[in-house]
Amino acid sequence: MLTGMNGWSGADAMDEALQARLTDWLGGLFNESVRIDMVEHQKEIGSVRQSWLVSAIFGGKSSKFLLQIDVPLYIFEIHDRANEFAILELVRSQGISIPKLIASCTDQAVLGAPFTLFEMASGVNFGQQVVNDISLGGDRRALTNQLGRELAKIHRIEPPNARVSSSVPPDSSPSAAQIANIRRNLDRLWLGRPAIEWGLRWAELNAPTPRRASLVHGDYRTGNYLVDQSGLVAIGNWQFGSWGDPWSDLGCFCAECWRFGQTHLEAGGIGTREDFYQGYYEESGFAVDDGAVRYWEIIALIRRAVSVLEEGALNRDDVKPSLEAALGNRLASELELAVVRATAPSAWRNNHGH
Amino acid sequence: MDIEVTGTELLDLAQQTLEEQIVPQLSGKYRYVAQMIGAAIRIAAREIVQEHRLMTAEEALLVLAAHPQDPSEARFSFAREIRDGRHDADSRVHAALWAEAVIRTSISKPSVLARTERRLAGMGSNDMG
Repeated sequence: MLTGMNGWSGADAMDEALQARLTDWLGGLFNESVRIDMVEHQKEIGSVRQSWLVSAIFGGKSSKFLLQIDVPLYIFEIHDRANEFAILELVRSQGISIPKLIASCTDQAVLGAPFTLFEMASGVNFGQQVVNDISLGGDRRALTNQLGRELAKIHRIEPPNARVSSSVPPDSSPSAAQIANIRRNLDRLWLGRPAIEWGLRWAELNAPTPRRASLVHGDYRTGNYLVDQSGLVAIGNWQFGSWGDPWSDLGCFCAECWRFGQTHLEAGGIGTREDFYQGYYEESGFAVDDGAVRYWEIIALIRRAVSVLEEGALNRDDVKPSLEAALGNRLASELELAVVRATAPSAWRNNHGH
Repeated sequence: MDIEVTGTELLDLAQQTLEEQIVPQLSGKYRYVAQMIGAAIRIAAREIVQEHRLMTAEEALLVLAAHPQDPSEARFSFAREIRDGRHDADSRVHAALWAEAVIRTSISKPSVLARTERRLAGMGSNDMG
């Protein structure tokens, strides 16, 4: 993830032992004496990694970094750091704006989990703020169009490419792989959620014919790009990047759960679906398959529902329960409502219903 | 006449006091935390009030299972039946799932339910099948 200085900062603190080890690691990285003067937890909705704002003094000046660390027990498959680095370098070579990487650390002795250090970019990614503060992002129609264009650039990267190590083979069915993955996670959590299973069964029987596979971001949505007053700064959170159906990224972007309350603005809570589709078309030459995008919106809702339920499961197992995670867990109801609404019997292909 | 304050009334009063007397005194992360506490109290109060409705809706759903199970396993096994294709496009199951989701959402976030109902009304017809 990337973050802005304006995101809400949580109360969690990094303990002194961890800070000391981080100080040593930074000292080795920059080959000079380092002093950390601030570490602050950055709160983001729906993030699969913890983010910390780190302010360090070395060489007589203060620098700010964003440190992202894997959240333990996260159930959806994410890349290891080396693969994510490779994808980031690949998309950068395509002219796509991404946060500037500083270094990655896979030695769990440092902070207890792998982490990545980015240069701190100015701007905001906090979803609620991005959709509601119209002083951000510049002209909203232009921003919506640009986010469609940037996505089309990502989708220009097609298999085979040895730098993309994807858990999803390019010749497999992307929807079947997603459904199997979500079901695996439901089973791991031992969750009996009939509404989610109903949605998954619908998705299994009603999958559109996939487009030719390309690199997909895997979590392309408001909250995962950074904007400033003039417009788009960077696209972050590449840990789900893999081969997949390009329409899945458009579906994620338009999914109701990622509009942060601005439900009438169907493109990420910031603009119209038409402007987003138009930007995608202008850059790619592909007329958007609206039916396929809407199919992937339902997958995004289901995925989000399982994700918030998992946050609740983590909460139960964790030694320090979090009220925020528990409240997040209750979002599952409204997500299930949206899934059930969208998958009425009339929406089933070859409806053999009772 | 029962003059004892109910648990729900206590929760409502606690939430109201928090919102009116505590939250305005706070800023930044503490205000956010206090608001979360308020939200949690509201959900808990609504859940107490709607407990019976929710139980009835769950029973109406689970009675549709092809193979009724021990109550502790019923939800999980019914979910598995749906996965296995035993209830594909079944309008009764869909209606029961909808009814349960409506009650759950009315507990966790009634504003979303109101928005959904407005949208369905605006469509001129119910897309619930």
